[in-house]
Amino acid sequence: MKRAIALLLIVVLAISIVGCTSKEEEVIKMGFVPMKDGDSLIESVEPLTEMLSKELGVKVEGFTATNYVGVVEGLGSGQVDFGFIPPFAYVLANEESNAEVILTALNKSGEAKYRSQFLVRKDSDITSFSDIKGKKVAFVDPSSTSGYLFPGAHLINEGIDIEKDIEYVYAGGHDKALQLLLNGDVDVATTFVDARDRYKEDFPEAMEKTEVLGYTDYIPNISVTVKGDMEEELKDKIKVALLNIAKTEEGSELLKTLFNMYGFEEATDADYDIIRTTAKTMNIDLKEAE
Amino acid sequence: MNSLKNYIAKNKIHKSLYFLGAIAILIFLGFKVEFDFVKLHKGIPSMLNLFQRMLKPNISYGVEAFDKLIETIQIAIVSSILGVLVALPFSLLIADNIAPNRYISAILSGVFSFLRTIPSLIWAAILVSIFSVGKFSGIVALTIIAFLIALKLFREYIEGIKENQLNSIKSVGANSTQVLRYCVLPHILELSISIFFIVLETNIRGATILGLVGAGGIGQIMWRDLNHLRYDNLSTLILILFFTILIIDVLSLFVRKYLIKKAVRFKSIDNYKKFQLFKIFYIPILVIILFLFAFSSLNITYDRFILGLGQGKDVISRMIRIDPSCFSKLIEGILESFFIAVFATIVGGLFALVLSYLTAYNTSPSKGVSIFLKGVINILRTFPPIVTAIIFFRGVGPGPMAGAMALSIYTTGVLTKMYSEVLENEGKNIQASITTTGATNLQSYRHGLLPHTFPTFIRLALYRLESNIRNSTILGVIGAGGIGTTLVMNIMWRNWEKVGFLLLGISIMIIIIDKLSQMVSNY
Amino acid sequence: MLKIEDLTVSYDGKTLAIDNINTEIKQGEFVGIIGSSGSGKSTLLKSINLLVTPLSGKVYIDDVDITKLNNSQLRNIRRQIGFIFQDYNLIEKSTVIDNVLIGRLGYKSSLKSFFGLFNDEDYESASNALRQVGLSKKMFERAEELSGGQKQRVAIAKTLCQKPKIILADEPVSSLDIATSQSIMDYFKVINDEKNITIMINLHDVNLAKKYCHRIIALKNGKILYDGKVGDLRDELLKELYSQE
Repeated sequence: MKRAIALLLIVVLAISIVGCTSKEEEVIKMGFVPMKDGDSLIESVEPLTEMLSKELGVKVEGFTATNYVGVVEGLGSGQVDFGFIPPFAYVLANEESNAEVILTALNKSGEAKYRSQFLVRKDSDITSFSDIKGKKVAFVDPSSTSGYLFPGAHLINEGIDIEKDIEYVYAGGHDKALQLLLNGDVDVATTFVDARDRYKEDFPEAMEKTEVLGYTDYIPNISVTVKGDMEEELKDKIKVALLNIAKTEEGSELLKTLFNMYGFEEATDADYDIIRTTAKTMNIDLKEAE
Repeated sequence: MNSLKNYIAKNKIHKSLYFLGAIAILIFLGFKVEFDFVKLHKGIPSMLNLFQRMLKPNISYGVEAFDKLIETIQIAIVSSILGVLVALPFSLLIADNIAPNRYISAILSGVFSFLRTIPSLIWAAILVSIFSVGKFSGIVALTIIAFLIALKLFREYIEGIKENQLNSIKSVGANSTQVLRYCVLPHILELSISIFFIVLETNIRGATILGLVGAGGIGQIMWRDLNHLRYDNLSTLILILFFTILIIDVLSLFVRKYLIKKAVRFKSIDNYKKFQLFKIFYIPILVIILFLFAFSSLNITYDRFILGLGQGKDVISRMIRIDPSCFSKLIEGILESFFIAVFATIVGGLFALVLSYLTAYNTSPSKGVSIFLKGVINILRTFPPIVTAIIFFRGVGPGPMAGAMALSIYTTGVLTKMYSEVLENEGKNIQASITTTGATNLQSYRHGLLPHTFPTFIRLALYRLESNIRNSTILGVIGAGGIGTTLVMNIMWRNWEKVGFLLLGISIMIIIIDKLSQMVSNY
Repeated sequence: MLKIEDLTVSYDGKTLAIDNINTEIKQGEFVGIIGSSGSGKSTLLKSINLLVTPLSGKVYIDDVDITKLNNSQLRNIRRQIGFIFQDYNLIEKSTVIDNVLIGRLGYKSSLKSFFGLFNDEDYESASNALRQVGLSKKMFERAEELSGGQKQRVAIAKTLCQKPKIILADEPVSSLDIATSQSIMDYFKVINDEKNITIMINLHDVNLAKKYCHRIIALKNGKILYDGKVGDLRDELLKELYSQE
């Protein structure tokens, strides 16, 4: 038994040595959650963090995740300093830990917003939203802003009770929603504008076989969100650094080709009220029951 | 006498060498997964904070979730039935000691061990991309998983049949079909039921993961609640799953103990003969009914299925044209996944070794401790690693450490359950033989049970290692390190050529590890 | 009826488990094979029905060299040779009668036996065999519920069901207590006396061998040390047989 205790002690000691040797220098941690509706796959955030490190004079470490929950929780506990997160994730982070949006990215057309579309097959008899009643609709995913939240709210505002008037499925992706529509499994599919173009290699017939029934409200683009207790000074520095990078030729080229961002625009919390009202329309309760 | 002294000295040196080696490996792995005690300590308050939010389950939500639970159970049952039924004939083809053709057996086992390396999340993601309809893809994905697990279990069992047992049938002049029918099949019914329950439990857990990719069931709302940060709802769902699995456990125990043991009693040979004749009809009918039941809940039309197959062909033909452009990413990600998995297996293994001593009722210091720990361990096992990873992520931030810790906890739970069962089954005689020498309970464990069962423990741990590597791909989804991020993103973007390459890389790694661990366990 | 010529067996290609053995056994003999463990007793028996393939040499049964036979011919020969194991090797999950019926497999087509269809004659001979070993009452119980001695009796019944010309028994009583051993040996004796079936039996208990067998073959290191009548067995020879070098 003595030996077992000694054994355990040594293990603990050994691991704590590992822990202590990595002396902490100041680093800024950046999380990047690409929007599923972006045009290109973001493979690595390293080019961006390198430029940011240069601009800020502090080392920036970045990581990518396909889902935002980790980053939102990281912002909440201060483990992540700032992140590129989808708009809905910002609202959650703000709700939970007063995280603050400082910038939003611009897309190809220079706008800070995008929207979703309702697609139907050209040969279908649906010509207006009222025809959707009694039909099958494919949403993307219950956590998707452009594939569930906004289209769902849109239908409700059109006077359709999504629980009663229609039958819906979650497709699991914008590509899969499109696929369901093309295969005839559903009559209406919701995707970002324009998923048909992004997945033209997989579904070359999408453009000619489907048409847009209508668009949702505009959704704010990906947000640059900082943790709630960040000092004003650092907040400003990050904001300036990103805006500066977008101004340089090298920087803007990099943002365009690798991250699909065509510059930044200052953003305020009020820009995201639309997400909150939409969530309310969809009866999504962002606060836990007390 | 000299040789005895030598033996003692050598034994000591060996033991301390192994021990130092283990520590060195652990330190090395600690570095690799960026383990940091200070960070962990500092992160405790914020982890507790999140954990506390989970401690308030929202009971009224449970009613809402009930429908989804039923759907999950249905998916799991159907896929388990299909998996076990299909695995049975294949296991006869590949088990070393009865395989009719060595080449067919070698080819099939090669294909199956390749398929086994693909994580269930990835199966579902690919299948959803092919068939797109949620529930069907979920069932197919879980059927594949169930098939592969059942195949492995059947095969291990059949290969475990003693050579003399086979000889005893051969020696009456029986041919190979007869050997199969009279030596292997009599055990199959009972075995199938045991395997069915094992697979069912795995599949219910698996169904929660499939929600991530839209494959239906309780996983879907679990994923939604996680994405809305509704931890109260999330813990409700985990609780529901915990009880579901508990009920299945009890049911399985009941079925195995009472229903099977009750053999039919016969009065005369005539009755017996009639029963044998009856069996010829009722067994195939039973199998057909099971198949029909399974297929009827698939709700997919033939045309739709063919359409899906066509799309599947496109996807697979693109996956075969592998695109190695992401080679450096692959190596980086795979190594990280590998280190996370090994770290989690070793740490989980150490904890499990201590915990199972306290958990197994024959070694535990008291009944209360044993029962309490059994509960805790079952809850640990029910917590999906991805949720644990988020808790740690909050505490220690991004990087492999969060993933490594989450997997360590999961591994602790699973290994403790499996090993304490081994202790309970193997225990009594050995323990008694040592206790009679006047040893304490702990001593009898240390010098009797532990050395006796340690090889089994190592085997279980190595088995865990393999599945940890597969599990670690899921952690990438939230940024907790490993190859998962790259893989999932490429599936989402339908870059099938890259997906093919990444999967190939993962498979090669797992197969190498498998071979290595086989060598270790034989040694 | 059984002739062994220059039989040599090796498991690893280097050490010889059976080293050039020659012997001949007549119908109705009761032969005991003795020797320390590792002397090749078990291998000798297993090579007689080719469960072990010999390196060289010939085994004749009724003047047919069985080492030259193809698979289906071999199966026909095997059904004439009963084999009884030390660890019974019953199918634990099957009923006792099913275990005994296994003895009929050599006479059945694949298809019929696959569906578990046996005819009245098969059942008749199975229940007769069970009656002979005194286990009629246990007919429909599962083999796993029996005691060791009962299991060995089922194994004997199975062998009888084969209608063999010769029974090979590999340490059939080693796992049993003295009284049960005696009763199992008595069954062998009755079978030998009444049906004139040749019996070759491996025993590690020399006293049992002396009591029941007509003839003793003593093996050491794969070679025959002694082959002759029980009465001529000398104590010096036994000493040498069981000595360690």
